[in-house]
Amino acid sequence: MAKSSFRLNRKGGAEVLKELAAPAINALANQIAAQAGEDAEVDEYTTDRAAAAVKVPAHQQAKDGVLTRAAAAAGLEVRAK
Amino acid sequence: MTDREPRDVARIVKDWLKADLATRFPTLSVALELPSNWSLGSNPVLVVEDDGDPLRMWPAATSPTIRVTSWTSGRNRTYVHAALTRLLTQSIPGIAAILPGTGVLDARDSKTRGDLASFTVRARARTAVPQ
Repeated sequence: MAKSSFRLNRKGGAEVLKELAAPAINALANQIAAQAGEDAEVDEYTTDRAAAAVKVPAHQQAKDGVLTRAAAAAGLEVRAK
Repeated sequence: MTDREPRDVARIVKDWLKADLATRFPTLSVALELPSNWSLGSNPVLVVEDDGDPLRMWPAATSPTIRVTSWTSGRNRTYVHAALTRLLTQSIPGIAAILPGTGVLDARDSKTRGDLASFTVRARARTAVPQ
């Protein structure tokens, strides 16, 4: 039986997670922020992968749910990490 | 085509919390919207709202985010802490599951000057044939 070998391409994986995924992640964050209103801010960053945070004023979320509503409209749910 | 329709999860949660918290907090109102005459000094109000659904489970179920916010005169997390604990630990007829959403955050309502405390949960409810 032939012995198969597998070699993880860490560099390639990192490139996909950090660089190739970044435009889609950032576009989604900006879409949610646009829906959440003019006070929403987007923070784009990179950890071991591309990521982005959307911030809204606390009173707008508490009173009107601007972030959770915008996330739902984009097909996402908001939950604690 | 299906004859099943979404349940009004916010209303189910509101009715359940209203009954569940009535004995412990006799002055607390639980509603789907803030009474238009609420002002500083009024009794506390807990408002339950539906923040929308990504519809990932449609048509078998809906998955709305439910937001619960208290209006109080002065910072007071008592009501949302009680509601959060009850929602995440008890079974509510008509709702398949309630999962954690976001933790409690404090804010102030610029219109009424009331103090707000708010959290969200993620609900799962099977669609049902209307009675």
